[in-house]
Amino acid sequence: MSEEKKEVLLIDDEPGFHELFRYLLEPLGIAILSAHDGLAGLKVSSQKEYAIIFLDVHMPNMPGTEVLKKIKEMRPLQRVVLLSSDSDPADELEEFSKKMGVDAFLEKPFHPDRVLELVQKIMGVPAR
Amino acid sequence: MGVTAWHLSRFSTKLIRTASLQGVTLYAEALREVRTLYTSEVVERVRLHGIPVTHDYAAKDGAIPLPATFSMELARRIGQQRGGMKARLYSEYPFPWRKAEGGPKDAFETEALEYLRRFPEASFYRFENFEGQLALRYATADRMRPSCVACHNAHPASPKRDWKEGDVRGVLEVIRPLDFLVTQTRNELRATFFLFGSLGLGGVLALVMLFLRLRDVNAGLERSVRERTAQALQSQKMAAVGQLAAGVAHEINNPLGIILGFAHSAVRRIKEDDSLAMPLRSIEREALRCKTLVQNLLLFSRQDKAQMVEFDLNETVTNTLGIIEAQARVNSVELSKELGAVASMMGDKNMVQQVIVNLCNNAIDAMPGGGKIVVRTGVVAKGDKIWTLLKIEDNGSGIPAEIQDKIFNPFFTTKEVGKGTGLGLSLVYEIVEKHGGTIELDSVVGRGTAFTVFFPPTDSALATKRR
Repeated sequence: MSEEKKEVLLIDDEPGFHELFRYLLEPLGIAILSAHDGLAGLKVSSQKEYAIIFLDVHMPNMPGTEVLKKIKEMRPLQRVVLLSSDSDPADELEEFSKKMGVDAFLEKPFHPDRVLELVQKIMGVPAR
Repeated sequence: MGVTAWHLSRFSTKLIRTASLQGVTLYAEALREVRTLYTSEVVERVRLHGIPVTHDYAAKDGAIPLPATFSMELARRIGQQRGGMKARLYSEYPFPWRKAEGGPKDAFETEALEYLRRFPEASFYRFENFEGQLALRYATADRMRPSCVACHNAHPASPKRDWKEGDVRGVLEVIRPLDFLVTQTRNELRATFFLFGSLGLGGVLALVMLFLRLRDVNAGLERSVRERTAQALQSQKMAAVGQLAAGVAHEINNPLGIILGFAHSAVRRIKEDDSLAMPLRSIEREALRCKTLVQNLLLFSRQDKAQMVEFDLNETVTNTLGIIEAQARVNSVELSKELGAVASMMGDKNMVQQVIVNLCNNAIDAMPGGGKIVVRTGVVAKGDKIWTLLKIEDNGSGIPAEIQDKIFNPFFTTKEVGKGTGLGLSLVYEIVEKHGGTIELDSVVGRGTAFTVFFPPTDSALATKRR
């Protein structure tokens, strides 16, 4: 895995999650790139392939599901973890994600261990 | 009834009086007519031939009776046949041979004579006791007819010889005993009375029963309206709270996720002897509490349609009790089940599981010193449909009557702060309602509580398929 690929993109309108992801992943040598709404996320994600894109479903300007479609159009192999809220209708979202080739689901509020597990699974980075 | 009887008795008396009066009037007229006819058509004719006409005709060969004698004889004979009807002729001027019989003999006769002399056209009558029984005494004036005058003025024994046509010669009285008539009429009226009485009584009974039935129906309607209204109110309340909860939960979820995320990982990284370790653990613990609350809220408010599938309630109960068992044991609660022969039902398995968990958790909380929970399943017939029944019974502290109508309200709780969200039972209620079912509470303070959930019948094809 190249150094380049150690970059993770988080597209989420909630600044606190960016802080949390940095707190969790930077100690593992993973760089966190941030986008704070759907459109910005789409722009950043189109620039290159990331090790993982963590993509929130609920966002201003463009919903996560739309961003996901565009990303997968550009880069079908891009690994994506969808961040959803447990108030979402889980079944529809799950079906949609399967169809779109999403790697995993992370339901907010999540335990940080889940983030680390996913990172390890997808990127092969040791969790600790 | 008494009034009716009194009316009937009065009516019968009147009836008897009218009928008997009519009878005697006709009878008296007939007697008079016979005498007139006898006088003009017999006596007048035979007298010219020298045939003797006398009161003691029976003793004299070839004699015929005087008209008065003839009519009295006729009356005597009729009286023998017809219920003792009697006729009498009397006057202040009786012929010598009738001296003993022919004068007025009692008060009635004296009065009648006096009255009719003044009002010859009228009649004089009274209902009174006569010879030991009730009788109608009817008197009319006996007046001189043209055919009478000559003879009476000429008869050698006549006590008065200046009779003119129309003079009141005396009184013709007809006496009709009424006892037989009264008895007969009374008997018939009594029979009629009882017939109408029982008909009336039957009618009244039918009315009373109809009234009771109507009252019953009415009470049933009122009850069902009350229940429906309460149900509607409850669902409205649920919907409102649900929306609010969803909004709040949604907004809280993100910040909470961040707090919890930092708390979890900070607690993991911090050393035990660090002075921040305890505060961080507290933050983590309390954030977790918030998370549970928010999740409950969301569960409660979720607009998801229930995922209706066919499932076996008994199997779900068994699986669910497995989850609760550990908690029950810790609290010294004995958990048992009595599973009936239920057909598979349509429902959301997870939601039904939630119902069982929530009701059992409440039961455990209601028995701080330990106790027993029995979970029953079965079927019950409502109308012609078979409903599936789920009953969760404990022998805990019971629910006071005054809060029984509040327990399904969201956020209503009797548990100490931090122990309960007050959403458990409202969630149960919501789920049961989503299934089209009903829930009933039966609780006695100090003895225990039973919640019974009735799930509506699945269509019969499905129900029998598994049988």
